[in-house]
Amino acid sequence: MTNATPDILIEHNASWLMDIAADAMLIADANGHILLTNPATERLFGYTRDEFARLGIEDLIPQRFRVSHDARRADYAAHPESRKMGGETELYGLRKDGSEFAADISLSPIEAGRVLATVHDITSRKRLETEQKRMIHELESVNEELKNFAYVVSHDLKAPLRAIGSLADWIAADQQDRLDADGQEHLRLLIQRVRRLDALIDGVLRYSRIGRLHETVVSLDLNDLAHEIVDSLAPPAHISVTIAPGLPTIRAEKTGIQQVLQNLIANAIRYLDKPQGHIAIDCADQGDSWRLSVADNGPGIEARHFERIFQLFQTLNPRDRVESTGVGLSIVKKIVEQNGGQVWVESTIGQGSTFYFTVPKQHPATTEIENKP
Amino acid sequence: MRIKSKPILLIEDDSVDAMTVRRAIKELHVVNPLEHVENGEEALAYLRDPGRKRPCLILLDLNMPVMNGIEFLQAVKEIPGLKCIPVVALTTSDEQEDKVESFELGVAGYMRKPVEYQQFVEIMRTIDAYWTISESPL
Repeated sequence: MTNATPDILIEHNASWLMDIAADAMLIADANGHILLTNPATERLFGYTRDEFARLGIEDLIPQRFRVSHDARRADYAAHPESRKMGGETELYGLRKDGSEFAADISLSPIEAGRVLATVHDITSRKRLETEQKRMIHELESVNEELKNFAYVVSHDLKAPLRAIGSLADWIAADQQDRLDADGQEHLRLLIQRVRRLDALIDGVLRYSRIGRLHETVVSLDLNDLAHEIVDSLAPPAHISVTIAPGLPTIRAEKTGIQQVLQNLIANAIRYLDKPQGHIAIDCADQGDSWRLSVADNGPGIEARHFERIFQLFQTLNPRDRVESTGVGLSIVKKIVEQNGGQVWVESTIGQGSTFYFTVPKQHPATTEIENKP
Repeated sequence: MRIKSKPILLIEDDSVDAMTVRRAIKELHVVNPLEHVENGEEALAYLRDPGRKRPCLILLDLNMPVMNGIEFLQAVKEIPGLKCIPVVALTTSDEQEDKVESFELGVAGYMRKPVEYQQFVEIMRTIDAYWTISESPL
């Protein structure tokens, strides 16, 4: 210890505290001369204790920060308080070997303008932050690419497809007399496949759009919504749809819930195979969520298919028998899960299926906002 | 079309799509001549040429090379004598942005080209019927 040792540390016999501290601690006087350093400081900066005694605080910061540091030090002397140094600016330390490291520095006034500085090397945290920034940036560009991809799919793939469809239509119409039965049948199949591909592309687009735009969460009267959807689907006369009385008003994104219910009810109608079809829409209160259900007395689904039916482009019937893209239920699943709910099916072969999905009473997006201070 | 003597200007880069429009208006007995240009720049040149007849309706594709449909709408909006010609966007794009931007730039309609020719004929039938009933500023 040199004769520059501040009295306070001797009087209070506190220098042992600095010696065992894991963080670098040093004491400087009002002019920025370094009076005392602890072993952690010596390890961090690479100077010996004797070398430190000949240095000023400015020698420990990179050249580019030195000019402004003088003024800042004077400012601190005028308003001494225990605080973090630098505020929002990023601080760097300069080692003896000329290398730099990112640092958090806390300042505490002692007496007679002396200041205790605690220096914490945050290089690894910085590296993580940089890595995180890079990943977020990467994610953003992937997202952007996906968005462009959807556009390319919608235009650049559909334009030639439409041309194929039109040309096939015209050949079928204009060359009818010249085509034999086989030729006409092939052309019919060709046109049908064009329509199918068109529907698949639309499905990909619809699926990829989910979650790209977030709607506002609104109060949604499920009773009104269910009636609206059933009206718009106009079920045939042999199918009756009952909507349970007293469906609640929930808080959710309207288009999402609408699409989920619509897809489930439309599926129930499409696959109903009984002379008297029944579809029932119901809702149960599960405490922190609502459980909605769409039940039908259709053909039912084997348990081994319960997972598969929610996957994109998966259908259980050959497409030539039931024209279906296999997108509807995957959209249902994506919407429900993005809104913090779950979807599942219960079914008895020959007797019907019930699709359930849950909607949390506390919408995930609103929770986030409300949690912010 | 209410005005039968004036042409319909089709701005479309895809030749089969252009054939589709030509075939549909023929099928619907629309007598107006069809003028076809392949992008927005050619369309502006056509509209600025005093030797050419002003169209009574513009059918506009959005995704085109050189000058796309949105850029064409922006340009036309700035030209006093031209901005009152009704423009119907007839396009593949289902992008919400394209729709919003088109209406902000004053399109009279936005139609998605269907994959089936007969549906396209129905769309053209509706456009023709509307512009037969509706008064036009021209």
